[in-house]
Amino acid sequence: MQTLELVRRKYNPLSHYVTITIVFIAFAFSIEWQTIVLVALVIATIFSPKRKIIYRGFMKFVLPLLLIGFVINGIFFPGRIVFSIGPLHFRDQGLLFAAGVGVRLSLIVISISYYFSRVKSEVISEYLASRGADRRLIYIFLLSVAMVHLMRDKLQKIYMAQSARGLDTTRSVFTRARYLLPMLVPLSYSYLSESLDRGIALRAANFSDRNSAGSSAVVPLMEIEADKSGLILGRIILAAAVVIWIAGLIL
Amino acid sequence: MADSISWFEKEVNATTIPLIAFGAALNIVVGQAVQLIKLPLYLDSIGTILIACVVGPLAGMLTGTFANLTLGFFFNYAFIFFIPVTLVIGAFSGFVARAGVFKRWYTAIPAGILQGGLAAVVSAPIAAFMFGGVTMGGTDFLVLYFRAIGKSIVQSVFFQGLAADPVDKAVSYLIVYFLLSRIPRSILLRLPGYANT
Repeated sequence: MQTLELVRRKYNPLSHYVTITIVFIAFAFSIEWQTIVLVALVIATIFSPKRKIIYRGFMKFVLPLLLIGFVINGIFFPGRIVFSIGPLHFRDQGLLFAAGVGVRLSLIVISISYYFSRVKSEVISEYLASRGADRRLIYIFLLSVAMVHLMRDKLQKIYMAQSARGLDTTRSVFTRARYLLPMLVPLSYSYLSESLDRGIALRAANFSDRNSAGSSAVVPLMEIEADKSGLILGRIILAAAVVIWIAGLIL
Repeated sequence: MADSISWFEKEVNATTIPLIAFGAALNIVVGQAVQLIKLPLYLDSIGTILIACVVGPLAGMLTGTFANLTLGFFFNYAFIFFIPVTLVIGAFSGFVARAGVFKRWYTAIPAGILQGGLAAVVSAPIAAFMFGGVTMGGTDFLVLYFRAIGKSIVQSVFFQGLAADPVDKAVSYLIVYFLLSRIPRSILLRLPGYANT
């Protein structure tokens, strides 16, 4: 009896192999190689329809980090003074260190956000499960994402109720710290008991084995159509990066 | 056969999977609660410590990992790099819970301080290597101070961690102690690892 209508999705594994390769380059390769890859990545994002999301994330999380990193490391590292702004002297070793950190971080963040802007988390989860990943771990991830939204709403309601009872955020740190427990206890209590009930339901659905064939819980939610040429090309790119790295170590 | 059940199967099964997800979500939501009432602390490991305590160390490690993955994917990528720190927090709090430190508040606080020291040791090289010592947290000025008095970048991040983490973790341990003492026993006794704590 068919009770679930499968959703068919296409997935090209090339994008995740490229992301893994870039993260590998960010850790294993020299700054010159990293800079070349970063330039290529930035050019690729310019043509991406999701570039606004990628750039917004970069501006919000990475750019302030990079700017402060340049100031702190530029000033406090030893070395030759490159330039000065008033009493602040920026030294070469610090600026080089900050540049290395900046390029590495930019590579990782841009590649990961580029990847997630292209693929939905449910599709990745189903794809990983179809490739043999532990379904329980995928379920934990999806459930925790869903619970964050539910718990945030509940917390907001508890906060409003506590505010009506006199919670005042302008008082001393110790007084404010005392407000934390009346917010956390009802939140934890309700979601702990709900999680225990959910556990009973999962046990009833035989969700205990890694990939139990008889389990109703392992019926796929969607059918993933993976692109074989993308898979092969992705593996070749990753293997090429590893080979270049090993060759660089030997030569 | 009960003997053949691995440690992983014992702590990651149908009963504990929703608890691990709850703990991961709690880590994130407590961060929001702290912002709402404007406390100068992170308290972003309460879910990890709670689950390590009521399920076990491996479940605690998984809770921290998934919390950081979720935070990394949806809020700030920096959290993904600190997964090794959450592994240490989950493992340590799971093992000290077995020793009974959460039975009394005055044993929970020193365990939290020790936990903070361990977290500082693990997070220092990550913060130094990945972020150049800057994490955009309120404690960055401490890194600046230690750099100004001539410490290396790893030393500065380590000392900053030593100054901030023990207080944060001691308060987290205390909150978990209070949570355990205020949640009804009928609920606590249903938790698979609670009897061992």
